[in-house]
Amino acid sequence: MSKAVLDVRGLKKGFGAKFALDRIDISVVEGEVLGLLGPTGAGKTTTLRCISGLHKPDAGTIRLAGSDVTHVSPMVRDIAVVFEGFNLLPTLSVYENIAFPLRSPLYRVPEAELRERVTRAAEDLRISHLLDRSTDQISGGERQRVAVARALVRRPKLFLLDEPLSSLDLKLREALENELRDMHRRRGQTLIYASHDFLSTAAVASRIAVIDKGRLLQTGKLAEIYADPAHRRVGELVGSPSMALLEAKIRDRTLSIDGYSKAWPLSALRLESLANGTDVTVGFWPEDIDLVMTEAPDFSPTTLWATDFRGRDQAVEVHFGANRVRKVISIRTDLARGQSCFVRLDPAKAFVFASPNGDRLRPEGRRGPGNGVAS
Amino acid sequence: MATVDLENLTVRFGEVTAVNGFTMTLHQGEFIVLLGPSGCGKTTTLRCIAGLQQSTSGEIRFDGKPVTRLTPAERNIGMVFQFVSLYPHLTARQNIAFPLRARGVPRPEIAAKIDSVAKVFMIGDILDQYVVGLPPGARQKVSLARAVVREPDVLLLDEPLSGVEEQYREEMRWELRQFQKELGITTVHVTHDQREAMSLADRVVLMRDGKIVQSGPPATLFDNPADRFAASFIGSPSMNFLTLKIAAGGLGVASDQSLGVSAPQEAIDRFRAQGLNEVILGIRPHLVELANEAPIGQNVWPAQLVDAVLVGRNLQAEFAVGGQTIKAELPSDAAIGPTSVLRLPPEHCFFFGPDGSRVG
Repeated sequence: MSKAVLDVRGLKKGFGAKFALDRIDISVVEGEVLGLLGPTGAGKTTTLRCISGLHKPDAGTIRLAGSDVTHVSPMVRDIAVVFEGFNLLPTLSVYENIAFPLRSPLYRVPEAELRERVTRAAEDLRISHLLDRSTDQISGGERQRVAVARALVRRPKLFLLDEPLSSLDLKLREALENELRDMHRRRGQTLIYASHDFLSTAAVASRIAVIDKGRLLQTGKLAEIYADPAHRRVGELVGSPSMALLEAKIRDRTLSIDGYSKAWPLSALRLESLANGTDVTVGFWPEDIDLVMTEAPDFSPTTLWATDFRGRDQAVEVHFGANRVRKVISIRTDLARGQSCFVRLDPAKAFVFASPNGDRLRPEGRRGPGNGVAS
Repeated sequence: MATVDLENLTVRFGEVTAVNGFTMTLHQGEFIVLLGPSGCGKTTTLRCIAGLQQSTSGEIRFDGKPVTRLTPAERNIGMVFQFVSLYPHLTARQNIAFPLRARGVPRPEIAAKIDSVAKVFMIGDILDQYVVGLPPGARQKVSLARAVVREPDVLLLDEPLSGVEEQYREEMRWELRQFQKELGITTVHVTHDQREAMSLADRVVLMRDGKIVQSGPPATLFDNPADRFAASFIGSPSMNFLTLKIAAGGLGVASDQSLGVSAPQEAIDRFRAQGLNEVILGIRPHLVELANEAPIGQNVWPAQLVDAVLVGRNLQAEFAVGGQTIKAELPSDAAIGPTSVLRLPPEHCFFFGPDGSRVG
């Protein structure tokens, strides 16, 4: 039984001549954490501000728990928002800051219930020991948690988090991601978590909406996005390292990747209608690329460009032709720049994107589950 | 390019000791990363090497010569800050030339030096652009080029990548390491990001409360943490910690003694000799195994699934074991059910005392 808490259709918003959002459709069901993943400037904040009512959309509808709130004041939308720069009230204690929304005329609750809710929110976010402190006596990470607790105490229908953790240091961010996840699990709170960080989004969200340049490129579970990426940009924004995107050309009814020794007949990709001379981009998830350090049959030579030690393993970047591939390998020994390595690419695991617009070219005679999303 | 000695460096601000008896030798050409949480003293240490901060006591030497009382200008250092501090009304070339002009280096020599650093940093094509128009990553490369163009004895980097967006940061990290190796300049880099430290350093110096917790190659800090703090600070997702009780029959999970823990008898005897009732077991999430077929026994325990999220091609699963939490990173097709069996390979388990010290 999943009920749509939020349903956004055809949302448009421009600032002057510039389109910040173009036909955004988002639907969030009860108890779900939707990750809104996109680079800085993609439109994440504008989307959240339209949903919360702080921006008036140019077109489109926003329905909250079934009722149209497009033209309803943000005050009565029953949405709580946490932005990156938490606006705590400096003259009040942590307790009073968290209690603040419950003292407003709109959400006023009896004092006993208020105390219970504040205590519980503080426990959830592990700040019980700070309740008597003033907000300028606590650290940045603690302040961020107070801001989350203050939003949470109200039990809103929907909770919007806009890069709530990106100013925190890495270990603290990881701890808060766990707490958010935990809080969602225990309370069944519905939330939208906007972030530019893939790993952070993947750690918190149950479903991900990828946004770029004001357009929603794809929405789905991470496994669905991996299985059927809708656009080249999705590949660039998802994964760690992100998708390897290789320049390729159609010649003599085959697809040849620049610098790769083997060409594939178009039939192997089920893309037989591609014309000779067409440029395309071929994407592979790094995990699907085989990479070895010694020459082997079916493997094509590449040059090691860089390594990135990560403790338990290392990521490497290899170059061939104009292309480069990044991948995590379990080898932990030192590798030298310029040394040879060998890759093997499997056409069955290739995703082909049109060049230059980046739309996915899906295998013919099959309709992908996300077909049409990027068109 | 120099060897840098820091001897018993101490910095006090009133009651607070920011750096407390810091002693270490930075070898010529070495890439050192000072790592730690906010307030651990890493930036103060860096500022002492630069001469921007006077130490309360202790000595700093470049190639054996004391520089402790010299001004920043009198020490031959190059420095890059978190926030780009280039002259916006000048081109990249003019910015890089600035420190050379200030020292009266002849024009042809300036041109030659700029050419050579531009090659290293691969910024030849943007040299004549104004820096305001450049993306953050490119601007930080210009900052680095300016810092190294006059061949400093030491290059000091104060979180130079944290202003760069995540998606460019990985690439910048890889390039920075390459530049440093190519130039061979002794480098000290400050960060709170353990990934950055792992990726860049020849030697990581992990700090806490003004002191060195552990110093060594990145792999050593990962494989052999000096204490519980080092174990939790290095590695992502963080290490699991379980409280164990030392009973007559041996080691067991504190909240459920029926869950036995394997440890060498010698270690258990040692815990007892130290008067410990409890120890903490640490294991990294990616080393926890799913062992549904294995018989329950020491280090092989039934576990209740609490949560699982797919991150890339891995499943990050959280289990409850005897009331405590164990996180495991498993392949995406791992057969986890509401109740699963987890195995903690004894060779991957660390033991810490209640005070956080490493005991096994």
